[in-house]
Parts: sequence; structure tokens; C-alpha cells
Amino acid sequence: MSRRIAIVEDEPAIRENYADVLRRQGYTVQGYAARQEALQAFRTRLPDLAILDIGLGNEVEGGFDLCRELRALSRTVPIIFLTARDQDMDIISGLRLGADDYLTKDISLPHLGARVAALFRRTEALESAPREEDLVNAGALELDTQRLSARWDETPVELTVTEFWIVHALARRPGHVRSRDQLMGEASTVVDDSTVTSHIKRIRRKMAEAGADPGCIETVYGMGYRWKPAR
Amino acid sequence: MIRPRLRLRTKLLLVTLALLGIPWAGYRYVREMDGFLRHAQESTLLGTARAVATVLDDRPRLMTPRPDLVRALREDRDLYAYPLKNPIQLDGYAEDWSDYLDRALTYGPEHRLAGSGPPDSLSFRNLVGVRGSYLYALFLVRDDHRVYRAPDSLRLDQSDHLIIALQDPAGRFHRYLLTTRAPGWVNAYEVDAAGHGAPHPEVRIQGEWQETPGGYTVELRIPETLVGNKLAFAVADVDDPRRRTVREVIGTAGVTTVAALGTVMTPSPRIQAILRGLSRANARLWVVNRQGRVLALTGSLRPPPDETLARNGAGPRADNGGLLNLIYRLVLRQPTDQFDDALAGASRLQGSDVQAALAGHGAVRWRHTPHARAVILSAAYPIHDGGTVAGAVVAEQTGNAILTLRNRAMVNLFNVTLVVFAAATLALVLFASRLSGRIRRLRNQLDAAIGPDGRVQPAAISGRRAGDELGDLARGVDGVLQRLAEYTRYLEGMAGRLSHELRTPLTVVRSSLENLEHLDLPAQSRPYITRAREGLDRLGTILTRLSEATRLEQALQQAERERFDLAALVSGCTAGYRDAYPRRRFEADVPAGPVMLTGVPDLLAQLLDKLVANAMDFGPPDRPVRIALSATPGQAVLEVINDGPPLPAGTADRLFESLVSLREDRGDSPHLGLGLYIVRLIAQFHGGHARAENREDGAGVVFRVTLPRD
Repeated sequence: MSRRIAIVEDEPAIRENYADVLRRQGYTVQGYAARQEALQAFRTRLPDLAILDIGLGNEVEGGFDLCRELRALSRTVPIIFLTARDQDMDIISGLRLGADDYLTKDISLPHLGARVAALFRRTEALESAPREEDLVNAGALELDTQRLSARWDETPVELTVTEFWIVHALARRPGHVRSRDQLMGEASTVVDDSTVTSHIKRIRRKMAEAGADPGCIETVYGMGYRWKPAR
Repeated sequence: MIRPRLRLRTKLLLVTLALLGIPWAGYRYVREMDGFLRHAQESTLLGTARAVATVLDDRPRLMTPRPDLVRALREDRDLYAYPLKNPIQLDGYAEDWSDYLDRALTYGPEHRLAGSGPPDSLSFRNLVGVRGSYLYALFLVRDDHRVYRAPDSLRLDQSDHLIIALQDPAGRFHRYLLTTRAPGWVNAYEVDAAGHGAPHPEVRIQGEWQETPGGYTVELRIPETLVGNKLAFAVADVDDPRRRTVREVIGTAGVTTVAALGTVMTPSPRIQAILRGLSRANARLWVVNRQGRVLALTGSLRPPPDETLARNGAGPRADNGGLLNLIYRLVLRQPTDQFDDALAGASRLQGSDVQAALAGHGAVRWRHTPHARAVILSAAYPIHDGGTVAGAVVAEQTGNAILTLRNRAMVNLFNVTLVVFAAATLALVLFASRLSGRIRRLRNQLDAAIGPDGRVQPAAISGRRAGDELGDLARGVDGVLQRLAEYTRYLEGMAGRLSHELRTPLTVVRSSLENLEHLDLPAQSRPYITRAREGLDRLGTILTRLSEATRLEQALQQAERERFDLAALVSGCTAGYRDAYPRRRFEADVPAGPVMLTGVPDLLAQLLDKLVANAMDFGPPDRPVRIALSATPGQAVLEVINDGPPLPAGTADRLFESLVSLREDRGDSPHLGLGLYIVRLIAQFHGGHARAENREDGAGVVFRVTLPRD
């Protein structure tokens, strides 16, 4: 049975375009235009993954409310914000509400597909035991590419998918500078420089919360970032 | 023409000058009051005169003892006996009379009674006075030849002699001769009217005869009991000591008959007694007869010595000699007691008032004393005697009381005006200061509200709660600023909102195109899809840049400052540029040591990115972009120098504004004029500023960012 994806988007053309792409990849897709409509459906049956727009019709922040309500229904269902709003505040709000990822509508459809696939993969992986070949270690940091999860000295670091791939890109080759473009490519996302900067900032904070040295991701001005080799 | 800039305070002070109308109005008022006072004084004085006149009405004996003798007389026939203040010593000298000498009447050839002679051979001056119960007379005779009575002669009329003719109180006619053998004590002899008969010595008439250069002086005394109403004197001159004939007789009136005699006017003691009872302080009362002859006089125009005007208050406080009082004394005419009173001791009163009174109705007159030292008011009222006018009462008073009152009013007026003026000026100055202070504050706040870059700063305008027009203005300005700020925010957010709004249709097109790519399309449609994708990407870039500034402003609000090495940042960035643009040359001039700065390194890297991107766009591809960092303890200066064309004049500052681009050629990548705006935002966030200027050699442009160091 194919996985079920719910797209909540008030713009029908976008909704249908996304739905078509995802259906082509073998998912069952339901589109909803409004928050109430979507919530009714979620209560009847939870989707396997939800893609939410923030502004829904007249509700400027309807997506945020929906995210909160969906998270109340299920702690595990993956939620992706896909929105035209790319302001830092929106990203922070969305992620704080329990979304797994925050994508802007600049993202290309193949990237979107990849991201959806990655999230499903992570959901699956969580149900099975970690495999040795999926693990990447950089000092105290351990990355599980299957589950898209990170641990620092056995302490879990809650990273979004985008953040995970950025960390992954840096930690796989310690000491090597990764430009912003490279990081974006690794993370399968299209964001501008300042968004990368704010991603890095968030990653550092999360690492610090897990007990890591926030300087483990070093800024190389004018070039990019690198993982500081363990001494 | 340069218009003088008058401050609000100055203008209000000028308006204060309008208060100067107060003293003018007050002056007019005082003048009016002065008129009323004068009128009141006239009425009062006239009332006084009338009251006195009423007392004297219908008492004929008082006014004229012998009504049958009342007739029109020539003045020079009548004699007026002055009430003498000093005792007269019969010594033949005129010193005792010095107070009255100037009133002596002169008798000359025109008063000749008999004989003839050269015009200047004989004349005399005469004074008559009364003191006690005696009538005194003084004769100052000019005579070119003095001839005394011959030692052996019994005749009295064969030498220079004096003739006294009078009517006694009983109405009998008497005639006396006075002559002497030598200067010295003389007595009169009574002779009959014809001058014949045996002379009978009259020892009650005594005198002293003294020689003077060019004549002689006779001073004599007659008991009042001898004299009635009529009296005449004559001087007979004998010039030839051998022939001894009377050559010439000059007299005050005819001396031969009663009818020819003149009248002697003596002050009436009874009227005097009545007047004394009616006398007023500071007023003088005269009673004159029909001819204006003074019958009685009481009172004085000058106040008693213990009541000086200075104490009455010529000034506000004469002892308080301030500058103000000095000015008042100079400006205002001060009443004074030191005036010449020409009338004092006069024997006859003249003037319009007296004439009017003698014509039958009361009148008043203001007159100045000689030298205008004082003004004197006189009121005259007729004394009636059975239907005819028997005389007049003249009351006199100085205008000093009014002058004093007026001066006091003036001084009070000026003092009050001065106080009011000072108070009003002070109040206006305070008010104006407060007003201009409020306006200044409003202006300053308005200035501060619009920053040097033309942006509206969110600043509260104070004084909005005031209920007056300035409060309205403050509210209006506040409203305008609010709306302006909203509009500025709207304009500034326009790019961000625009990009946001455009992103949805863009997504529709992009996702549709991507879906299209999965369909089986004819091969010839591929290039179009590719071109559409390219166009879409460019559109996406434009939108991203449009929202960059807005995003940056938000990022600035959350930025966390840290302490870092600016030199390392610049070096690192330069290395990055070399990697990223291998075909361009970058020259870096960075201090060897660290340049520590507190700020946001990511933002400063972004700033440098923008400056370098700008320099690469403008500089020729074969010329290097130079990046220079210099540091002093107080500040760090980052310069990015290109070899491109110089900036047009006057555009250097506008370069850093939002959506301003001076690019002439439109390159491949879109330029929205936001790059340097971002530079300015970041520089300002760090407390510094960004400038662009042409290089001194004209071969390029320097973009200079100055950042303060702590």
C-alpha cells in the first residue's frame, strides 16, 4: 500500500502540480485548500506525511495552527512546511512547532521528491535497528544517514533534514571548506547565502545544547564553513 | 533684501510696546482730572468770594464812609495809604520805606497846580502809609534850588514848603504848611484856605526834613484822627532866595478847596476784622472798592512756614531720592512757594475778574506769577449796596494744590504703569520663552524624526496632550510622521512583499514546467522549456534580491555581536574571492596583526561581498580590485577601490539609498540597487558609515566604510 501524503495549500495550481509530481513517484496524495477541511480529514485518518503552506486563504498563519493541531494528533507524522515565506522568523516559528523541515517554494520538484523520500526513509529506519554502514563518525559526533539523526556523545541532536545534510556534508570531510553553494547542494535545497548562515547558526546552537563545542563548525570568511578536525 | 530674523520672543516684546498706550491714556485722564480740579477750585474760590461779599453786602458805611463823596476819581488824585509793616522812624531817610518805594507815585509838571518852570526843576515821589493810629507820608523831592525859610521871616510861604490839605472826619477843611529854616525836625502850621492869616502851629503833624543831592526828603506823621476821607499834598518851590516868590506848585491834587482834594484810601479796620474771621488757609482775600482800591487784605498765598510744600509731597517720597524721583522732579513742574507775588501790597487791583466783578458779576482768572513760577487763581465777586456795586471781594489761591495732586497722580500713574509694564513684559517673556521652547522642541523632534538618510525614525512627538494650537500642531506633526513612517515602511517593505506575492505565481509556473518535463514532449519543444526555465531562474534571483534587504533588516534585529578579528575576515574573504573569480585580480592591504572589532562577522563579510561585487562590476576586468583595511585605536576603515569611471557629481550619497542604481549598461544579472543599501545598513548597524568618492587621481572610485572600535 502506497504512502499517503496530505498537501494543504490554498493555491490550487500549486497544490495540483505538487500532487502530480508526488503521485508520479508512487504516493497517494490528498489535497486540501483550507485548515478546517484538512483537520477534519486528519482526525478521520492521519496521513503518513503532511506538506503545509503557512498562509491558508484568509488565515495568515493557518499553517502554523494546523501544524500545532496535527502534532497534537500525532507526535511522529513528518511535517514539512512549504511556503513562499522565507523569513527567518517564519522558519524558526515553523520548526519550533514541531515541523521536520521548512522549505521555500523556490525548491525544485525533484528536490522536493528527494526530501519526501528522505523523510520516509528516516521514519522507516526508526523502526529498524541502526546499520553500521549508515553511520558517519566525526569525533564525538555520530550521524545516521538512514535515520537522519545525529548524536553527540550519545546525546541526540534534534536536527531538521536540511540541517542534517549540512552537518553531514561538513562532518564527512573534516577540515575541508564547504562553500554555501556546496552545502545547499548537499542539503538538496535552494536557499540564499543568508539562509545558509541562519541554518549554520541554528546547528551550532543545537550542537551546543547537546554539549558540543559550537566552534566545531568553523566559518571561513568569504569561502564557507568547515568541520574543525578533532585534535 | 535681507529680512531681519526676529525671534518670537523679540516679536512679543515688540508687541509689549503696545502697553505704552496705558501711560498715554493715563496722562489724558490726569489732564482731564486736572481740568476738573481747576474747575472745582474755581467754583470753591468763587464761592468763597461770594460768601465774603454777601457778608459785606448792604453795609454802605463799611465800604464808603461818605457815600456823597463817592465819585469817579482820577487815580493820581487819590492817595492810597499802605498798611506799613515796619515802624517808621521819622529821620528823613527813605530806608524804612524800602518795601514800598517801588510803588511810590511820581508827580511832575503834569501835576502842576500853579506857576511855571523848566520841566525838570521840580518833581517829587510820594508814598503814604498807615501804621498804628498814624498816617505817614514820604516825599522825595527833586529840586534844583533849595531855598529855606529866611531866619527873620515870619512868612511860611517864601521858601520851599509842603502844603497839606485835608478834610477831617468831621468834614471840615484844613490846610497846613510845612517849611523849615534848616534841615531837621519840622512841624506843620495850619493856615486858612487862602494862605493868609496867622499861622497856627499844629504840633501833631511832625516830620523830618533832610537834604539829598538834587533835592530833599521829607518824612512826616499825621495822627489818623486828623484825617478824614480827603487828602492832598503839594510841594511849592521857591528858587530865588532874594525875591522869594513861589515859582511853581506841584501837588497830588488841588489843595485849595474840599472839592479839589483827592481821596485817601486807608485799609478799613472793620472790613479787615470781618475778613480775618473769614480767612482761609492758603488763600488771600481782598476787598476793593469800586475803583479797585484795596480796602482790606487778609491771608497769604504762601502757606504758614511749618507747612512746607516739600512735606505735602511734591514727589512721591521726597526723602527717597532714587533715580526715578530725580526723573520725576525733572519732568514734572514742581509746585513752589518761592514765587514773586507782584500783587502783595498792591493798592489797586486790576484784571478781567475784578473788572467783571465791578461790572456786577463774579468771575475767575488764572494768572502766572512773574517768571511763571506759580499759577494763581483769583475769583472776584461784587459787593452790592442797594442795587449798585459798591466793590468787590477778590479771593486768591495758588494752583499748587492742584499741581501737587496732579503730580502725585502722574507719579502714581507712572509707577503703576512701570510695574504693569514690567510685569507684562516679564509675563510675555516667560510666555514667549515657553512658547518658543515648545516650538523649538517640536522642531528638534521633527528634525530628529527624519534621519539624515531621509528615513522616518520612530520617535514620539512630545506635547501632544496640550490643548492649544501647538498641541494641535504636535498632534498634526505626529500624525504626519506616523503616516510617513507607515508609508516609508510600506515602501521599504514593498520589495519584500512584492517578492513574496510574486513567489506564488512563480511557483505555479515552475512546478508546471517541471511537471511538463516529465511528459513526452516533441523534441523541438525542449529549447523553449529550457529558455522558460532560465527566465524563471532569473526571475527567482530578482525576487531573492528584492527581499534580501528586508531579510537583512530582520536579521539585524536578531544579530548577536561577538568579538572577532576583522583583518582575518578580510584576508579570508579575499582568498575566497580569488578562488571564486580566478580571472580577476584582487589586491589586499591588510594589517599584519589582528584588528579586533565587536560586531557580526557574517554581516561584515556580506558587506565586503557587496562592495567587491560592486567593484568588479564597475572596474575594468583587467584591472585589480583593491581591498584595504587600516585601523586606528578608535576606528577601522575598510576601503574597496576600483579603477572604474568616476561617479557623477552629487550622486555619492544617493548611491547608498534603496533601489538606486547608477549603472548605465544592464548586464546579464539583474541589479536592483540594493547592494550598497545593504552595505549602508550593515555599516550603520555597527555604528559606522559608508561613503563613496572619486579617487583623487580621478582614475576610479573609493568605497570607504568606517567602523568604530571600542
